[in-house]
Amino acid sequence: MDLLSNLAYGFSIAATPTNLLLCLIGALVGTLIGVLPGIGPIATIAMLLPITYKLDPTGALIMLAGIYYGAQYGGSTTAILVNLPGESSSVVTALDGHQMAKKGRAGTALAIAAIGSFIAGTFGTILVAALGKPLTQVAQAFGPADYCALMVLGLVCAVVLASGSVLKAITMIFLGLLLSTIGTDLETGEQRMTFGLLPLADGIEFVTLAMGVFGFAEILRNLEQKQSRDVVEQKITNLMPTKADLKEAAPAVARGTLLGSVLGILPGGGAVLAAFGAYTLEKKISKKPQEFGKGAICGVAGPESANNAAAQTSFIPLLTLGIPPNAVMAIMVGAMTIHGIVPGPQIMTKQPDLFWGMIASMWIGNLMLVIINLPMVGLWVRLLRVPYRMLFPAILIFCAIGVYSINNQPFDVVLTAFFGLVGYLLLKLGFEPAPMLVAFVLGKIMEEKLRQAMLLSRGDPMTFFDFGKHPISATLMIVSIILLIVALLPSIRRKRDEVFVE
Amino acid sequence: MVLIGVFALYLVKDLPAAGRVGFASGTAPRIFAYCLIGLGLAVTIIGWLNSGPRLEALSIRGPVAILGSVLFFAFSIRTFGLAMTGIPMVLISTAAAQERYRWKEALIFAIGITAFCAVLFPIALGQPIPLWPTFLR
Amino acid sequence: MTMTKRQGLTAAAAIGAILALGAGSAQAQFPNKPVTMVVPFAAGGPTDVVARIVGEHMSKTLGQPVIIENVAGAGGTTGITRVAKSTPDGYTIAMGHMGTHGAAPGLYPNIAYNPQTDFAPIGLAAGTPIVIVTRKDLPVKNLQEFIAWAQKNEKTINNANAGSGSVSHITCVLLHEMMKIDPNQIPYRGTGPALTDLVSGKVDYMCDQIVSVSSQVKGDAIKALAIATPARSPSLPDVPTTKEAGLPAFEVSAWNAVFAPKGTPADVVAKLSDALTKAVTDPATKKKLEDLGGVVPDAKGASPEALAALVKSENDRWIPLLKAKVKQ
Repeated sequence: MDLLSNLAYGFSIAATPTNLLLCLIGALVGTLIGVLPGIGPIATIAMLLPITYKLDPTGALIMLAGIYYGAQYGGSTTAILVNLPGESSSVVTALDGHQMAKKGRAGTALAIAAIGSFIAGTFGTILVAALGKPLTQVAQAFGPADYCALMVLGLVCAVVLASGSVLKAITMIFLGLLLSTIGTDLETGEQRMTFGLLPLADGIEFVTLAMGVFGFAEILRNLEQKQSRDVVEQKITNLMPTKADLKEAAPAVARGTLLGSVLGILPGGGAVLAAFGAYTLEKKISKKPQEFGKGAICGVAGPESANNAAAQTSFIPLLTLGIPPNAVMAIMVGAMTIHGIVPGPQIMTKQPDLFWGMIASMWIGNLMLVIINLPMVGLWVRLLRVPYRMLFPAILIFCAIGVYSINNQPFDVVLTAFFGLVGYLLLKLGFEPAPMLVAFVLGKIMEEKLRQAMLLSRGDPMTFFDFGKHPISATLMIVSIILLIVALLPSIRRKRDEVFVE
Repeated sequence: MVLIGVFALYLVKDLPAAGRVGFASGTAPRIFAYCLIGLGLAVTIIGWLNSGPRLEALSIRGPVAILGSVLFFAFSIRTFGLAMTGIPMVLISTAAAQERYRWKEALIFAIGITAFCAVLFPIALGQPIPLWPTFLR
Repeated sequence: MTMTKRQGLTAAAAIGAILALGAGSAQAQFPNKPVTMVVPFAAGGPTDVVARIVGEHMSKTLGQPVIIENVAGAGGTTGITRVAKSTPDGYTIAMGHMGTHGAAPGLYPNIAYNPQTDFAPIGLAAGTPIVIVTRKDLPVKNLQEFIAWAQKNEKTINNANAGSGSVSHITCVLLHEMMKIDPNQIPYRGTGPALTDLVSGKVDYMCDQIVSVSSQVKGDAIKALAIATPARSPSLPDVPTTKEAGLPAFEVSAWNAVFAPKGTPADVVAKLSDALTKAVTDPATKKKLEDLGGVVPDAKGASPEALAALVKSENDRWIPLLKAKVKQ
């Protein structure tokens, strides 16, 4: 068995006491910084990178893996505890995770997120080790048209994220799309809707928008309703999930893992699509869809597993092609190049110790995560007992520092405050921010890919439906149309019924 | 409800100036904006027809204090540094919550949390966040 | 009233004294506090990596840490604008770039600085050669065949770039100008996705920095036709130079250089320049930069005078071309 001997070789490199310690430290520090509300994974990793510069390449890489998983889990923790998603894929976790926390089940949510992540991570790692090469081919089959179609499908699914009015959800999706087009036009370099402001030229940072509409708006709302925050403070039931919880969540973990593994391979947007694709799936097949958005355990387990599985398989394009698929990976590549490692197609054959060592360290990183975080669940949950009047100024200052540290630009902080106000008004008017955030993330990719597809086909819109040339795109488009009709029909019918009743 | 419609209209008003008509350059934002207007109006109309629950009253004090404190951070971080920004920021924001303002507690807490941030970010992690006012450095 | 007024005056005097003291001691013994090097791009990018490698060695010579501050945005012009407007005391310097100091005035009409007059050049840190790469199954064997193929198929070929104003965009604009063609350009958000579609053959060719493409070339995922430097690169020794391949005029590099704001005292510039020269001539630092595919200047090439000349020649080359060829 080639695979087994290779993996064993990898573990022999990664599992030295020093390297294990480095990984543990990395995961611990990554979690501790990542768990500060407002400091998302990208900021965490960028802040912690310099620590690894002094180490030897393998050690640095292993510590980086630890930091990476720690930071990611830290982001999910804040999503659950204080409704502050640190990156795009934990937006979905915040939906039901925070509701669970409000019901006093924060411990359960955190534990199930850790367990789901670990299982998904293990599966993803095996997949990377065993099928890295062939899976790259799958990713390569996706062209701009196919991506665009995938994003359309994603947007259609985003409607399902809403627990309230479908019409309002669609409105929010378009608002998100509109926000995503702010900034310098990709093709011509024109400034779009920037009001001539230089800091807007690169568009709006995801973190800025997310901190504003989720974080600040949540604080504003909580300050108004004294009751709701007392619920979070007081009623904390058992920390660990019960047998019934595990039984309920297990299939969601499995489905999330599979979906995440597949979508993670696609560079750009894979992890986001994975997380809320899993959410959509869970909500659709659940026997109790009305519980979603109000603290359904499957709504945490599925997306968190998908998220982490995607995080694993997103290493595939990096390892086999040397192309970083997202911002976090781009930072990792920067770190590697400082150590003289340039990831690429030949890394597997030329530097097998590095390749297999890295795969082994990915798994170890996941393991460390569970080891560190299961005992810490109690600690995090206890944080919720801190009186809210002390908790929220702390959240505010961390958010401000976190947003500032991304580009070291005060304007970003101003923008966050603005979105905080917008988010607050939207909440008041009964609009949910989650579909907007998802549309914001997908919109950027969709416009880019749409333009590319149109340029490649010389302006022929039918390129998306051409089965001969783009079978993936055509299939996805048709699926989206069907889904859209299915999603809209009941609400249209209901509306009509309501009108008739009146 | 009406607000979103107005908001969309405002955005569109701004658009023709910003995105020139050309092959797909200003097209995407415009399509999105028009859809948003349509939907905004639809929401508004349905809102009127159904006359659902009354809107909760908007409170003023919370948003002003919270967003004010964040804006304060943005405008003073580069000139006054973290030490001189963090403490007033926390003081302003805590003003949002209290029916009766607890000065001592807020001040101690503000100093504590600012010190924590100062030790963590610029010192322990080497973040390029100014710590002291520019004229003291 | 009088009390507060007097207090205010005292405070103002104290602040003035501190300021004067600070200014005096800065001139006497630069540097006496950490130096901030602004990198106008996100952490992890090629410019950031160069800045960190060079900055680490510079801090040894200066005896004060060189802190990297990433201020990304608007093709790097946001960060550079901040440095141009900062106090010229040598404590705020920039890692400029071919884009920010060579091409930006041709791309951004509202740019808030002049690369030639608003800065005190410190020196060149490294140049990153540009490589012309194509999909691996493109039916050409060398640059000459490629030019013939591109001219013949001008209407159907696809050129990828990393977005408007990026290095890969403007260098290929120059290439097209030299080949006298105007093909279809497909913009991507960054080098990564553009390279992905080049590897899978959905686009035909692109121009990019050697550090971004060398591992894919070595792994036979894409083909490199020529490298736009006078000498071959040790990281891709089999790739001919544009001179060898018959297009000598196409010689471009994405250089990185250190700048201080205009008005920085001469002795401070000299100290910074000395630290930079020591960094790039240090064998270990030089090797690190060369491993990335960089061309590291000698002591003369890293001098402030050489940089000033480089900025001028780059401005002369890019600004008219980009104003003519790229719509704004």
